[in-house]
Amino acid sequence: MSDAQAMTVWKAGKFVERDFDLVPVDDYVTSGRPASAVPKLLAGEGVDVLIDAVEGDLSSLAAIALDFPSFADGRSYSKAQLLRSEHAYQGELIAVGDVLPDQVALMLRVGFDVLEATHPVTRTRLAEAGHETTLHTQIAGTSSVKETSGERFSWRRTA
Amino acid sequence: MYRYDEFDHAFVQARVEEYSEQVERRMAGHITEDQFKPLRLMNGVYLQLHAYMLRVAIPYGTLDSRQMRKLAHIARTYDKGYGHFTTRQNIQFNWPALTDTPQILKELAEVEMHALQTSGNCIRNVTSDHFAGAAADELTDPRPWCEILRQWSSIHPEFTYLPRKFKIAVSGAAHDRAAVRVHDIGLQMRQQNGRLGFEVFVGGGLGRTPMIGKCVREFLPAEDLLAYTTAILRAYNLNGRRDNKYKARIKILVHETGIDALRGQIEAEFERLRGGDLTLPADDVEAIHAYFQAPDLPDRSEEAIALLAQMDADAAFAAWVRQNTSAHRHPDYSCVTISLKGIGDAPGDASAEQMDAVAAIAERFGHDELRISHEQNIALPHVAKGDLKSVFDGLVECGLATANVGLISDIIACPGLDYCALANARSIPVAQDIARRFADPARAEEIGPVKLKISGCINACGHHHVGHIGILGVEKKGTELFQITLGGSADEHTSIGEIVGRGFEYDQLIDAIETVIDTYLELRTERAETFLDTYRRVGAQPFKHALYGAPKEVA
Repeated sequence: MSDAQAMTVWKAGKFVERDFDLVPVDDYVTSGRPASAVPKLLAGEGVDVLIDAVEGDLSSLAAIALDFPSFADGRSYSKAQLLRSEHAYQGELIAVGDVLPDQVALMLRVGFDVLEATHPVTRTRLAEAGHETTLHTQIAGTSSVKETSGERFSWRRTA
Repeated sequence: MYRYDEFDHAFVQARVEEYSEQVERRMAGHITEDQFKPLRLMNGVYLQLHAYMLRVAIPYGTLDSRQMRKLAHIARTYDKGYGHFTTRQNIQFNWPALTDTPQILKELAEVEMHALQTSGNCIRNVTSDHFAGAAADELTDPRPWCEILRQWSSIHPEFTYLPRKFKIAVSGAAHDRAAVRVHDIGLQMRQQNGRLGFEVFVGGGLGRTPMIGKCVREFLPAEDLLAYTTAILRAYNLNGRRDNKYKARIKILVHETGIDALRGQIEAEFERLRGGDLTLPADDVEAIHAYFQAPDLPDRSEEAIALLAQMDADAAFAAWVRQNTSAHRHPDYSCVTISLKGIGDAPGDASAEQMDAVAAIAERFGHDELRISHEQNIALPHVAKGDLKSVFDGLVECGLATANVGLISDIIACPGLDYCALANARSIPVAQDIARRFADPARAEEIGPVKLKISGCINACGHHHVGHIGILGVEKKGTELFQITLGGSADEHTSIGEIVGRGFEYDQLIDAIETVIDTYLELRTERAETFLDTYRRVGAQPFKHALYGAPKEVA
């Protein structure tokens, strides 16, 4: 990864400046929750670790990073989904780690809205338009991708 | 059966287009085989021992003649003229060129078929009873629920990178023909106080650590199917082991967590989801059910009575009716099983010509309905007894009239060393040799029901753990060795077979199987006592004795 790349993350359809530092959940709390820091939940840490650390007040967080140590490790999909749908978390969800092109659409659907993509092919593909599928057969999110129902089966969504 | 609407067509079409681009990028060298691998796997394309293999889903085993003809066309045009029906209601084409696979998927999409989720650590093709909607012992047709699960699980964003593959089976009948207790989730349809629902089993599976599914919920109201399934999958996705591929299935999570603790997690999550967006609206459930309405089956009682005379006049036909037909809920009709276990054939293989012939028979005599069974046979769920002779004659013509369903030569076998990159030993030749040894139909019928299942490696794709007689091929010091297990079963009385002793070399194996059968015949109290009944009554000891000699006296 070049320095220039290290400076940008993908957000709302384009690459923007990376204006945060990732810190472990414990450090985030003990260091007094600095404004530039984003707590990073490891793949093996449950959502409760984060909730306990902020004493139940997720709304105090502007951003949360969830880790994908490998593209095949799908735990952070469920955590993103839980944060959005069961904890009504409204802040940013940042996907970090092994963010590859073919998982991007899934990440956006479960509620990620910022991708820290370092893989060159991912960055190229993200820069191209139209990489998301638009028809879905299950409810997910609430995500940054605005999905609508109104199809003939309740589980269908279009984006 | 379910029919695609515009949404479904567009959904599958988008996946085909995406895959076509991926193949182009691969062929142009823009992506490496390593980068391409997860992409092709998402579309059912495996790299096997000799070539690419394409696995196509036949959701819950249901298809019509148009789809069967398309499979025949694909076998003829893009493969070597045959296809292989698997133990999970899929069909595999063993020799397609990679460059043809996008076109194959495109042609499949034209007849509302796909290869999605036939691979990878996702929710796989949902399987069911091959006589669903027809069998006399059925409470209700499980297929509408399978279809809801199929749609909901397609490219599910949360559950596409699970610790390991995930298999769901649904049965709606008293006799479990879908092996629900050896699936990651097994759903047995139940009725309680007039409401329809499911008994939910979790953590069954075969492989190197066979486990019988445990009941996690005795009654789940049907409308909560997706909420409860989500709760199970979420617990598994978050907590299932990812450090060891062989300990990553949900059965290990159930085993290590304990069913009561896991039930607590699942129920807590279910409580949060219950009554929310995942609850199935009655209108949707009704709309899906409408697709599965049974065909109009007029009474044909006079012909049904005439069947006995037809059987008296034709011994071969009579044997076929006895073995290959079973009770339909309408007394004038039968469920027919077409054996893909011709003596000396590879279990589950069918030629393009046979697929076409079966499609024509289904169209003419079977209300255009076909099924694939997990036992690697084809079924015609609705055939009037008055048409059985015509069906039989048609099957004789295409070489598919073998009257051995449920008998010892109706063998489940994995592809084994002949095709599979994982195999340690041959499976198909073992199945062929056993079938030849018991080729005499009168002898096979005298032996009665035996489920013999063969796996060519410990991954157990041939379900040997749940065979009344199971054979597992292993590799030892460079040669194949075959372990025999006895007493397994995958129905409502599921059991895992017991290893009887040291393995046999290939050239001793068929004799050993014959010894097992001869021992059973000597031990059974009456003809009606099946192999499994006898085994459960007497245990392994007499069989061990017969195979390995008398146990040494303890001094």
